[in-house]
Amino acid sequence: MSYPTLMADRLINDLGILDKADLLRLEEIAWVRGVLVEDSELDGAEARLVIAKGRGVITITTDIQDQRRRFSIAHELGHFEMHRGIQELSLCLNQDIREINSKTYNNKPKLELEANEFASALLMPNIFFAPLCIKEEPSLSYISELSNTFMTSLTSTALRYVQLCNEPVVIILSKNNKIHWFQGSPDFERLREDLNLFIELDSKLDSNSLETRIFQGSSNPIKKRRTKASNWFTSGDFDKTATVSEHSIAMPNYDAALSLVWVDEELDEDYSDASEE
Amino acid sequence: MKNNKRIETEEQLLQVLEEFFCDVTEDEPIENIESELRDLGYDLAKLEKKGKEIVDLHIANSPLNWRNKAKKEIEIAKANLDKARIHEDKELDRKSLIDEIRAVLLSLGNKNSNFAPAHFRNFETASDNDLLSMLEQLKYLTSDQTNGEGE
Repeated sequence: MSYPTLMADRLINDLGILDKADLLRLEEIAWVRGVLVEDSELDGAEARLVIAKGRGVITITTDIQDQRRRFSIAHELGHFEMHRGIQELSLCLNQDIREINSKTYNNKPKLELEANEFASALLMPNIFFAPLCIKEEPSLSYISELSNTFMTSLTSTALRYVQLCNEPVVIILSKNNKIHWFQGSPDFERLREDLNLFIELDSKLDSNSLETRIFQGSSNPIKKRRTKASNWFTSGDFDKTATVSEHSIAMPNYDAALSLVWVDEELDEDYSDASEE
Repeated sequence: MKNNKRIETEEQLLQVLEEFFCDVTEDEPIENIESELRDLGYDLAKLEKKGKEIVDLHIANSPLNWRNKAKKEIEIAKANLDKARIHEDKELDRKSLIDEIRAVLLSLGNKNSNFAPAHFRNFETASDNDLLSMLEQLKYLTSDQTNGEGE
């Protein structure tokens, strides 16, 4: 277990939180840890933490969505819990407070990555979230339900989901019809390594992809279909006729689409050879 | 069945438990305790359920429970933070704001850590409004009214 997750779990334990409804009391949680949350206009940052004499004030900019606000509070609380001996002032810009902690973003300062991971583990703690990740088949609809339950954004919920689910799934964000980042579940990462699956960042999605169709407008927010694995994996030792389950949703505010790809069939070339014999 | 006391109220339950645990040593195996309670005529499952209900109820209603006290304390803390607001008629230019923040940080550094000011490095790049609210928050945090208690 990583240090940020450990710290978030310890906080949950220290406060005797046994009901996930308590997670909605985020300002109260921050307060009992010594931090006051204030909503105020901020010109140069999305969120700010000022610490003095062992206590802190988190300022959250006013023009922010509820779920994003919660993530930002949890992010700053992470700085307070983990880094207050190192930095007494944290000015976190929009790009610092990211729900993604993928290797794609490993150029970000370590403290910001830790704060993001803490936020995710605090808002969706193992104790409540992990059992739900193995309860149903992977789908964006289910992840959307979870995001409503935990009052978290769809992206942060999806990323937490793939951390804890025991199916080979990968979350992919496409922007301007190009793969921007992805994050796989532990099972997916094992499969990726075994089959040398390659997901090419910044590669153009094919014109038949769900993203393309989603951006062209759709009344149904979540699209689900079976698609060729090769639509997502540029290369690898897999059967090129194999298919995967794909769910996608448009995120118009970000000019992006979020996809969940679930490898629910054997991809292995050897497996398909064996089944043909 | 011996000494089967009927437990009607929380007080009775606590009294029975207190009497019982006075006679139990720390190294007493749990099986012995369960057996003795059974001999006394208590249904262990019911006893556990009842005990948990009472404890949960008291925790939920306790004024010491953070869930009950935090909201009120936050209100007071916000009022205290408002007291640290710098009045509009006190015009502070950018240089004065930065000087004041530096002075607060320096006082923190003297009292708590020689490194405190270093942690606020680059704050000078913030906008005037952000510097002002930062100064107000620092003043609040360094006052003695940060614990959510009224005067």
